[in-house]
Amino acid sequence: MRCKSFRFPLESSAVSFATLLSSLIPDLLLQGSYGRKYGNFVVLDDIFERLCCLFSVVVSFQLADVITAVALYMAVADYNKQVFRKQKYALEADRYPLDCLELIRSPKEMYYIPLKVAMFYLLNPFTILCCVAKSTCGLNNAIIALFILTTIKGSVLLSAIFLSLATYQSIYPLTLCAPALLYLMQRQYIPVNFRRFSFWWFIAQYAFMYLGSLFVLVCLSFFLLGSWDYLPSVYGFILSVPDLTPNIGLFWYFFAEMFEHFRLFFLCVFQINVFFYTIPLSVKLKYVPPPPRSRHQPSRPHYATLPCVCVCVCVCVCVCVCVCVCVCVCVCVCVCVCVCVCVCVCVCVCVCVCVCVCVCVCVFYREHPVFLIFMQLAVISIFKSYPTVGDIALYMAFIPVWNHLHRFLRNIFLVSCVLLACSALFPVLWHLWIYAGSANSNFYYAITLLFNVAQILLVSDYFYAFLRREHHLTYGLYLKRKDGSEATLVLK
Amino acid sequence: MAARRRLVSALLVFLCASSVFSGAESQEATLTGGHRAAAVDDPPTDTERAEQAAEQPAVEERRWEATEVEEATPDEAAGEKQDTSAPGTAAPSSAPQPKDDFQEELVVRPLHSGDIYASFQFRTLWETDFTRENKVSHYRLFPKSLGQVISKFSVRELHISFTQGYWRTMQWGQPFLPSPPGAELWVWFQDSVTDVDGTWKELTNVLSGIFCASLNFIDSTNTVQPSASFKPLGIGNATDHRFLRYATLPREIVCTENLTPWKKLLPCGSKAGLAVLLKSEKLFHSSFHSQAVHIRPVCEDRQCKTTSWELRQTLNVVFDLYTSGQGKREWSLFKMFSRTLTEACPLASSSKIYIDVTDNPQGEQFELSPATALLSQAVVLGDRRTFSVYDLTQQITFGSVRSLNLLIRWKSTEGDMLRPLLHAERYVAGYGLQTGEIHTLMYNNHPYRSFPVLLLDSVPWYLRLYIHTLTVTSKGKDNKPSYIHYQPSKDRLRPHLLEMLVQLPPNSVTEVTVQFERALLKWTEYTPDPNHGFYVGSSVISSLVPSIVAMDTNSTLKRPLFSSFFPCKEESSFFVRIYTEPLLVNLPTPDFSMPYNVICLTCTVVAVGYGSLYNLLTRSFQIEEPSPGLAKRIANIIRKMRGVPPL
Repeated sequence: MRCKSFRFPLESSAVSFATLLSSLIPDLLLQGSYGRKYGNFVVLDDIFERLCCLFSVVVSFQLADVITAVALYMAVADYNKQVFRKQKYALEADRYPLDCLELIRSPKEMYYIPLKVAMFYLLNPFTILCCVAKSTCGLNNAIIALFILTTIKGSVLLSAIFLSLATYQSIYPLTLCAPALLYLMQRQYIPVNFRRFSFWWFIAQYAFMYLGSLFVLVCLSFFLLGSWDYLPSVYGFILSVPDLTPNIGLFWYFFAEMFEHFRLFFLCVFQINVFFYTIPLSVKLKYVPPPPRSRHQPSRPHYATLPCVCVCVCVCVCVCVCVCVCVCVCVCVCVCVCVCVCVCVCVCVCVCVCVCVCVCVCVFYREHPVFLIFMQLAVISIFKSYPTVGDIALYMAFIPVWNHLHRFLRNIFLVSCVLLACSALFPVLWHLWIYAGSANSNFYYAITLLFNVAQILLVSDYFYAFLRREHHLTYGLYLKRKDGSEATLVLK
Repeated sequence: MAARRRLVSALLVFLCASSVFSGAESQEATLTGGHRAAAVDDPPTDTERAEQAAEQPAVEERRWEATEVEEATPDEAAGEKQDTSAPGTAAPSSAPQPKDDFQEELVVRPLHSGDIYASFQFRTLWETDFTRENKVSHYRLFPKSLGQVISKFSVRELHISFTQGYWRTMQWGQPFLPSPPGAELWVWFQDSVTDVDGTWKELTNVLSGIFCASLNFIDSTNTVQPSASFKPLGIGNATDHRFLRYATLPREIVCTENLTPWKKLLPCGSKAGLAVLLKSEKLFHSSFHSQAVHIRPVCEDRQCKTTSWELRQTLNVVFDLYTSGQGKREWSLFKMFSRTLTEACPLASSSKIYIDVTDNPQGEQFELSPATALLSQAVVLGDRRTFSVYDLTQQITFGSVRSLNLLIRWKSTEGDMLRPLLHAERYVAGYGLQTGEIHTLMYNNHPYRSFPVLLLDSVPWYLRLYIHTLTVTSKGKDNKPSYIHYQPSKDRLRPHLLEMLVQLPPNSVTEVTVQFERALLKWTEYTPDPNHGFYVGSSVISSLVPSIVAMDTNSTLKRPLFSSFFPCKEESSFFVRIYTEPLLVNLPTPDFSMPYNVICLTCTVVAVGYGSLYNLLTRSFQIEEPSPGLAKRIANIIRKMRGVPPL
């Protein structure tokens, strides 16, 4: 019954299953009691982890990975069909400029994409590491993949349930509700319009299903445990980052070296970072109405100002909230810091998400929710408090879906070299620090920094390429200056 | 004018008078407050008492020599739960019982390694009730500082020990009073205490002040509530371990500053009696030093109608043959303590020195001088030992030179010690700073009896125990513990607590292993010398070890103090508590020199992410137009100001 825990440094995840199991199985066997807390997170305090326990005892983690791969395969196959259909309609409507024909995706190149996605996930060394380490990240990925599948299939109820499951595990997938809503509305031909009743009715339906299933899960946990203690143990643990075990993220060394009186402020800033890209991203990845088939360029698209305003407002709100909360906490010292962090971050997150959902969903009609999902997953995996390589594996599985963007990528060679080198250097420097003692923590920390920079560059590069392709699809591939010479595109 | 001056002088006189009065009051207050001063104040009664005390032990001694302990046991033991060895019980006819009583005792046991073990015990008994409503205000022998602590914090039992060095059970046998390296504190509170944790916090801070020790570092991260290992030693069998708190500080270093306040608690201070031997420069020049204070309620009479409070101060020290004895196997009081004894503490009802001569019945091992005719036997730690007794209350003990300097001179070096029936050791296995394994070895040296032991482990939270890797093996086979109490840790809140009841097979080694992972802490949570490592307190092994001789279950008898600390419930076994070595575990450390750099670099990376996304979000693609020349730009600005369309 013992679970031999193989813990690779890259896998020192917060909710690593090895730790989880380690604490609970003998406890169960020897004492016959449950509801004990192990470390910071609650073991068996949470019905999901209870299921995980059963799951792991009955089947293995490979199954979770297979489920993820199959779900991704089906989701991407369906998505590609829709993309192709849309492209066909656009072609029939003669919406694309004439010189963009080489940007049009052919069914032949799209045929193998679902398979490539599944293989990218299953054969990714990160996935294999994650599976070998028995990290709960694999289960988390499976649920998110099922959420994506059900969303793309258009099943509102299942989508809401899986999203609530994913949120229940770790709160970050909360931001995925914006793309899900957009996609589902787009699929059901519900116009995104403030004044339309059907729009509000759909939002209410989805919110009811999502919050309802979340409520059921939370209450189920409460009834199983008989106390609310698990809430701070699970979500407080994610938000207030008390565990500084080295991982591949930005949080551990930063908060190990943080001055005590700035901790709360930076905690808020770092946590909000995950959430506040949702609004501007949703706004930016919007449906651009095709211009009339004229050859002259519009001077400046108007839609660029709104994301700017959104970002600024977001940042202002977040910083204000952070500062206010920090000041409050500094004033009333007696208040427990942990609870404060949880509360303030929760409040910030709620405010952000509400604003995001309301603003972006209400005002615009989104065309690219799946790319939004990809961006959100990447942002989550970079900026979450306890990232694991499994999170990276999930968003990297989507890379084949965007293979039509490859011609616009700017520094993919550099980024992939850095990612590969960092992946190789992680275990080396870990060994030098922890076992050989010939290096110190800074070496490993430097590699995490570089790895995260590479991830950021990768994501922003894909974002850039996506925007650029959209621009070309609207304005033509070979752009000319006013004087007729060949033009270069710049971001202004 | 004159009237005014008179008024001023009158005022001055009045002020002077009042200050004198208040001074006198304060003097009175100190006199009544200090029990020693009070004792000096009242010489006639005191000398009477001293005479009484001088007579009584002599009588007892003879009686005690004549009658064997075991013979007395069955007669008197029946139906009696517990009693104290107050002198009044031996001579009930003597005049009104003193409310309080002080005894002092020194046991010297020559060890086979050539080292010598000296154990001081001082006991103050006071028939009073600290818990009653009207506060106890008149203190005589009992130290006021501790009495106030007991009544203020509603303490039922308090045990505190400060130890420097580790007791080597295999070389030295069992100590009379075990203690772990560093500081140890365990307290039972009264049932009336509602906020136990708050009271505990206050109590540790107060004790920290009383004993000049770092007990204020005891907080929730090193405090546990053992469920079975620490039962009350006094009367009352409280079982609700909510009122128990146990904490150790294995890092605590014991020195003179702890000894001085400890000596001040004695009625005679270090002025008279056995306490004059407690010179810090000698005591700390030893391989083991342990001082302790135990406070508990005990029964005053046979029926246990009235209770009294017992304050037991003990000090154990082992002098090393090579560092203190210069390699010569010859010990004397002067050599050990650089003092000789000239008198007993005048406040003490009994003052004795016991020399363990069990292995030396005919004097073939060592020679003891001056010789004494008094011999006594006591059953201690499952073994019947013979002691030479020197009664300091009798003038004859000091001889013609009016000073007692005991001398032990070895004749032969051979000699075999009875191996202790139970001992334990502990170490950390594994390499690297990520994981490790704690091994605890428990040896049962009994040839044919197996017995259960209670193992208590309190591991700090920053070692994350993988409790699923817990294995208990004896003789190569799995040994399933019959009771396990495991309380997982919470980061920065409480430590792991692991208690197990393990049956040790005869003549075997039982190994308990558990794996752990080391946590990375915040840089402010490391000690000033982080690469020295972190201490993990000793495991505590409590056991009822089968006894070779019948134990004395009757505590009504007059027994030496060293054999009467742990109450004995049955004849066939005796209680032993063993502490293992503390562990020193290295944790991974961040680089302490670069918090600014880390903050800057990480924020830079976040800014790179924010900046690149912001860039893409807020800007749009445009065709690059060649920038107009400087003259044209200036012209355009001017035109703009004029309100004319630009060029």
